[in-house]
Amino acid sequence: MSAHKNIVDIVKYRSIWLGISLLLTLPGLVFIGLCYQKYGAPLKPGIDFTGGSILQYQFERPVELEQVHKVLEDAGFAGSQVQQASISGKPAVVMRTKSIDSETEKRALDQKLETELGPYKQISVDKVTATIGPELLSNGLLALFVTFGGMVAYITYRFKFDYAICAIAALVHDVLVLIGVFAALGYLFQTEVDSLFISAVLTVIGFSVHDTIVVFDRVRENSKSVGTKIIDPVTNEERKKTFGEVANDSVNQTLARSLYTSLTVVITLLALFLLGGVTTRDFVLAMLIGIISGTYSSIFNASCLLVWLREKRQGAMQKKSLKTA
Amino acid sequence: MSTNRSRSGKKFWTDWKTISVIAVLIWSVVNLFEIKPNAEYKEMLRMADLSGTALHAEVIEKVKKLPGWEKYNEYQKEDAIKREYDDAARGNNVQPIATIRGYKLFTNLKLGLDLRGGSQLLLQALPAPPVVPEITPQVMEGVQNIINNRINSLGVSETIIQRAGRDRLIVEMPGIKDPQQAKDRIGTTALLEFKELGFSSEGIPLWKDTGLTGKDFKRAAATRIGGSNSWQVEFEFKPEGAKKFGDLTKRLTGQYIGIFLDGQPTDRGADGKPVPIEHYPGVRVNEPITGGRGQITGSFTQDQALDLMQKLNAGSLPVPVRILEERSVGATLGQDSIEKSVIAGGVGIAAVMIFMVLVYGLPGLIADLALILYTLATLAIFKAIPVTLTLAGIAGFILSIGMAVDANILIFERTKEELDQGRNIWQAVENGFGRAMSSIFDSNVNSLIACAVLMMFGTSVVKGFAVTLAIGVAVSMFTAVTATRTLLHLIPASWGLFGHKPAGTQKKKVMTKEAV
Repeated sequence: MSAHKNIVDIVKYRSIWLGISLLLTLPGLVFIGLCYQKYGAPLKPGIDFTGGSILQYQFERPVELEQVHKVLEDAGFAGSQVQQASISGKPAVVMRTKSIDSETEKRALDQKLETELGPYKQISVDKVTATIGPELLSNGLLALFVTFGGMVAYITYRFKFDYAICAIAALVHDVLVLIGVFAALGYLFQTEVDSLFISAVLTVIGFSVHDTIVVFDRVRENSKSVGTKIIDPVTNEERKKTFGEVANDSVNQTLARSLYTSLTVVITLLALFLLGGVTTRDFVLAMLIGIISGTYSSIFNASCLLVWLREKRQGAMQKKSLKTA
Repeated sequence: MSTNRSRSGKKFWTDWKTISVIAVLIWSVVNLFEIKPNAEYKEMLRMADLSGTALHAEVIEKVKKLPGWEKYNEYQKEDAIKREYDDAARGNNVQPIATIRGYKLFTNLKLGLDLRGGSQLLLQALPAPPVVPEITPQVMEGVQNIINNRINSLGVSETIIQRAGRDRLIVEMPGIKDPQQAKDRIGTTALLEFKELGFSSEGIPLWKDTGLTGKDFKRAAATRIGGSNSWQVEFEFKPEGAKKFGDLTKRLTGQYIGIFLDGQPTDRGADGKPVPIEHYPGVRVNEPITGGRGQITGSFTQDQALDLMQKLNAGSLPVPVRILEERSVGATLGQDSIEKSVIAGGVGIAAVMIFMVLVYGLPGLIADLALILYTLATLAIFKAIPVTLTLAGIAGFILSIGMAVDANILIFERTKEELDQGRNIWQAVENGFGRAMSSIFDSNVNSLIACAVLMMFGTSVVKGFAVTLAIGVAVSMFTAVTATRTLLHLIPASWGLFGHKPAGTQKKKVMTKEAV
């Protein structure tokens, strides 16, 4: 059937492909551990989870970040972070403070900023009390598991259960890579994750499975030829075609599509990342990482695992039949 | 899969696929774009800029001009006023595209708070034992109604108030210019109480409840005192309240009554804040008041008096509320986000289009045409539903473009393989589509599963993303499959596809799928 020349060999170099995945995920796990030490969570949680305020103000007079910091400290917001940002080409100041619980507190702070640093425009105000963080997290985790369940059910229905297991394994790999990268960013550059991050994770899950299914669809179609007689290219002897060879052919037949599709998605995401709004930049970055990892895992991990599972089962069955004989 | 298709032009034009592609194109364009004379367009923007009393006056003036207005019954009148309000709000969401000879071409997509500016508040109702020990759905209903009244009295258009969970409300106020005012108005309980002086068990004087509150009011009105700059709030009791008030004032003639709003004296000091409770003398009752009318004089400014009046008329909240979350975005940031999203979206789509042409040549160009149809159709659906576009929603839309292209890539790769195996072009295209369909379908169903979960569990931001992505995926199933296929068959066979020139004569044997 295939006159196609195989470019990658997922069966022969299996340990290399899985090794690369380990290399990608292990440092992430280390950073997750480091984040636990530093923040008490696997990632640096943003105000959506911990409560707190992010105030973005545009002052009419140029102000030094040091000055803003001092005013915040005097107003009782010690330990706040102050950063410079740019909105519509004009400088703005981003203040991250602990949670401002009452309106009076906020008004006192606003007044103090105005008297000390002059008039300003409020670009954006985000105030979150600490109460909803845990709920947001449990909702997110629930969503994650429901998605897993839904996909396993669907793939089992359309394909087979072991396909579903492999698709989920590839997807867990992608989520681990994504969380690992953000743990590293959080540990090294104080990048925080917000509720949008949860949806980025869920989207990556959707895309990763989307990608894996295309490969599996090919495997399913080609698997009819398992057991047909072929001429072994090395020994020139006639033998039966193995599942591993079929999977290998399938991956190679869908390789161009996998790469092209990922490229188009990466192109659109890159445009969003470089030119889009600041608010969604981390969200887009999360999707970029997840989608690149998703492409890798659907080519190299999902089918590898499937072949490994099938070979194991076949081995067990052969042993069994030997015993009975 | 049917096997023997003719490629005669006649059949092509009567094929349902061709017809549906053209129908979708026409529907999208008609639905998405609007044209109005410049003057009418400007009037729309002007109406959208009005708020509060000015807007109300304009709306009333407009409905009065409706033919047969006098004959309308109450419901019809209310309906007409609501329609007029909705119309006035339309101008808030216009995106001009071009001006052509005195006419304005524009679209009317609904933009979220993060794109046009505004405030979103998450409120939590707190139980107030012993009267309200638990937040029940009935209590929440009351809270929602009163918050609704209060915000309406601010004249903010397009406000959305939604229940969230057991004891929460989401209040969205797009385009609000003064979120502080809204928060002050929403956050207070606005419970007006009449109290009498008594003594605690230790003999310390204190104000005691009389059981008479602002809930017994029929209405309140702010009026100016004589020709001065000072304002007061006049009130009128309901019949039972009037009786209670009469009894109370008869009993306390010559003594003092305290009037408190949310536990603070209504009298204002020189700084405009309520006077401290220790320094509050109360109001001397000169004679019994039996008419059920009275006034609260607390040296109010006009704004304070109007604010109190509106709070009293909107009613007091059955329980206190607190603001759990506030997200306010200024119009500047919104504008900045829109501009950046439009540029990012445009560059993204253009880059994908160029990529497709580079990789696939002429079929790539056809995929691009399908992509344009996809963009138009998706935006038209956003407008028709309507979907409120947020930044996350735009991200979802742009991501779905990638997925729409994926379907085409799958089909083209399959078609190429079929051509490699020596099929003729027509058959290769048909087989390519047929075989790619199962993976397109399965992978998209999976994306939809993820979207459905996001819609169920997500916060409003996440939901916005999931909705646009889901619509995008669904539309792409149509445009990428049906539209591309229709257009692909328009390419003359002699041109060939993907570098495969037809060998010799076209009329070779037609292969069936079973023969593959």
